[in-house]
Amino acid sequence: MDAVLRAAAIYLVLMVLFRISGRRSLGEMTSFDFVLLLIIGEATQQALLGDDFSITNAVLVIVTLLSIDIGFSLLKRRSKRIGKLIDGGPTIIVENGVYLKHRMHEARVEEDDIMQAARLGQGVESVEQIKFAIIERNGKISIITQ
Amino acid sequence: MDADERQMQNRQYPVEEDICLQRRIWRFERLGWYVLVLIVVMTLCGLFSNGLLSTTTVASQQRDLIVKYERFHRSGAVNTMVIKSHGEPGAVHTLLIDSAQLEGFAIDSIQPQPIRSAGTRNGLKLTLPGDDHGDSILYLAWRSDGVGLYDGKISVEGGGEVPIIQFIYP
Repeated sequence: MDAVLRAAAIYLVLMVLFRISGRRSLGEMTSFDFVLLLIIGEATQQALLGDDFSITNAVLVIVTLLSIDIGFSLLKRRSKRIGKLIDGGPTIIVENGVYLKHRMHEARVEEDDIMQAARLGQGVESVEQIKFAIIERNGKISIITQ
Repeated sequence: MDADERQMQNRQYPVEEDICLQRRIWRFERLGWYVLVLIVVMTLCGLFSNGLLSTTTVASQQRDLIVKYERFHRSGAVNTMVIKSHGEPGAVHTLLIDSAQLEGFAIDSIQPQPIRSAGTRNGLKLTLPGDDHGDSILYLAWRSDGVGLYDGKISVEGGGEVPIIQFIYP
């Protein structure tokens, strides 16, 4: 029972925390963010396993985590609204060469972030060349040129 | 309609937006940051053990028993307790740690070792030697095993007692 409760609690806490940190931090990951994720993994490991390092406990924790994950994916398929609550939806931040500043501010995205994504993906030089820039559900910025 | 409001209207192309929901998510994120900062501040203050809110000292009415302990514990973690007790000069005296305390905690270490220890229906009896003034001091390290509120007490046999109220986080 312990293993299931631990795994479920950690899953839910991490889901809420990553929701709070925003998609921005997941999509545009720097090397420091990567190190941070490793530290988070290390910190949760002990809480997941407790003092029990048996194979059975590890299997139980993994099975619980996967079950919850599959459960949520099924729930998201059933209800579009729940899917949007968990993953968010796509948000347009540049429209016909114009920055939508209010949205960018809310989503914590800078002009430089958009232009970086535009240069990396499309070789775009200026914002006027962008028809749409969209923050996708995974946090990445996708660019559609004029 | 001003520019900000126009910006916040739903677009249907090239993706279907739900800005109303998205704004709620952004609000939730902002609220979440304040909660995270609050958690960090409260942790520094000792809400989750070791700090101003957590470390406390209680004394019996007769002042023959003083216990310094943590109000808050985290399950699996170890915290210390210092028990200063007073008995007859040059003689031994006995401390009683009641069973409520032992249900939520296990003794990790005890220094100095008591002369005698015995488990009774009411809890754990520890017999300690007093110094020339009858004082003794006991350092205990408790490992939290349970979860929730534990309302226990520690007493000196034939003397005063102090309530020990502790909370163990999961």
